[in-house]
Amino acid sequence: MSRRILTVCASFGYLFIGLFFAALLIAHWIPPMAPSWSAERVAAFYTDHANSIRAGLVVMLVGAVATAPFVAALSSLIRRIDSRLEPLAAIQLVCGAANVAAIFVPVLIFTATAYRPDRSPDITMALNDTAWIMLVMNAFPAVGQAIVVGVAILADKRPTPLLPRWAAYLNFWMAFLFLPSILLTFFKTGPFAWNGILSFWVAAGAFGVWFLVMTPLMMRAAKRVDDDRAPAVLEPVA
Amino acid sequence: MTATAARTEHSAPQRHRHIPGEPGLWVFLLGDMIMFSVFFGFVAVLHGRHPRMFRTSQQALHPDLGLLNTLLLLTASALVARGLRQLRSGRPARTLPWALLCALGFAAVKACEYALVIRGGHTPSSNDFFMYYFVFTGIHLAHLAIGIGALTVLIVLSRRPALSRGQLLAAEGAAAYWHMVDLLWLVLFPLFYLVA
Repeated sequence: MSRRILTVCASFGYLFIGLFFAALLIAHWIPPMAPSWSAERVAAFYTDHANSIRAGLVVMLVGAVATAPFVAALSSLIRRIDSRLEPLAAIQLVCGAANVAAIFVPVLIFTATAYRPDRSPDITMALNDTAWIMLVMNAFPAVGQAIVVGVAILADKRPTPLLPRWAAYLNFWMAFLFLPSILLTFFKTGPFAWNGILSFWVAAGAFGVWFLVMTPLMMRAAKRVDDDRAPAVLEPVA
Repeated sequence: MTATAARTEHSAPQRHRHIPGEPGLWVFLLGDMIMFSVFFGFVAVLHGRHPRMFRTSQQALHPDLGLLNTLLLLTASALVARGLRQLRSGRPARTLPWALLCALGFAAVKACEYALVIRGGHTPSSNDFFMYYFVFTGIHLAHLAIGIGALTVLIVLSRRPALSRGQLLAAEGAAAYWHMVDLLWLVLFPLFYLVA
């Protein structure tokens, strides 16, 4: 059954990307709030959209968990490229797990922010800053993940590799596109602010493309792996 | 899959075009260049909107050092191209370590220029010009650091008596990456230092 389980796990990539971007839309975060907004404007935004923000966050929370099967399938595939790549599969799994947290934690802080929008605007702004910075500046696990996946694909020496070699280079490019968001700490306006073209739009777009490209490649690769891991038959206990 | 392979084999003799490195590498190289084109766009827009601020900020840079760096990169590219040609024909590629030296020289000159600009009282937070200057040339410098790794791979490969097909592809890929680093600087340099 491992083929079918792998295929289903990989297909969660589509589910995640659907939920993630739906959540952004539901919460009125496309385009995102700006770091240059005043405390009053931030508080007013939460008051005006309180319930859609709360609902969007619940959807994003479900989406974050949906990356877990996807990441597990990816590690399983890396191991099947070559069993000696086990450490790379483990790194991918660790980074993937960190990604779940990287979405989960800011979503919960956003939830706390939206919980009492009528509190003092300064407090709402502090919480809002915290959550946005955590949601956008969380690129490093994804950078590590993309690099490790790329290296694993290139390590496949078979004539027809399990995952195509161009996907390795796409992963390296994605790692580069995720990076600018780490600069948001220095800026409140411009392309590197958390709502900026390079920190938000390019990074979020790359994130989406990464899942939309990797998911079908992984589902196709899952069809090619050996179904040789049937459990051993156990003798009934006397 | 086999059908595609057969077709490629069949049509190969008629129109054989050699792509340096493996084709997949160009996903990264072209993607990277697209990203840098976006960077160039930001600088061009800034220049269009605030020509005065752009010009006064520009005067704090050191075009002589920028020109020196341009020459270093062009020399390195010529040495890499020559080295690769020798590598392909099985001759010893002695020019490659000099290319590496040029690359290290670029990094040293850039570090000096950053120090001079910062000592002149300009930091990334001074204005948008310096923000773009430091961030985009910094990202380019990071690419150059990877390029130093690529040149090291090239040098290691050139020490081998003979190269397999895969090793030759890796050598070509490393050289192609290096030329991209050079090309990006050839746009960055006039954009920041010379546009008036």
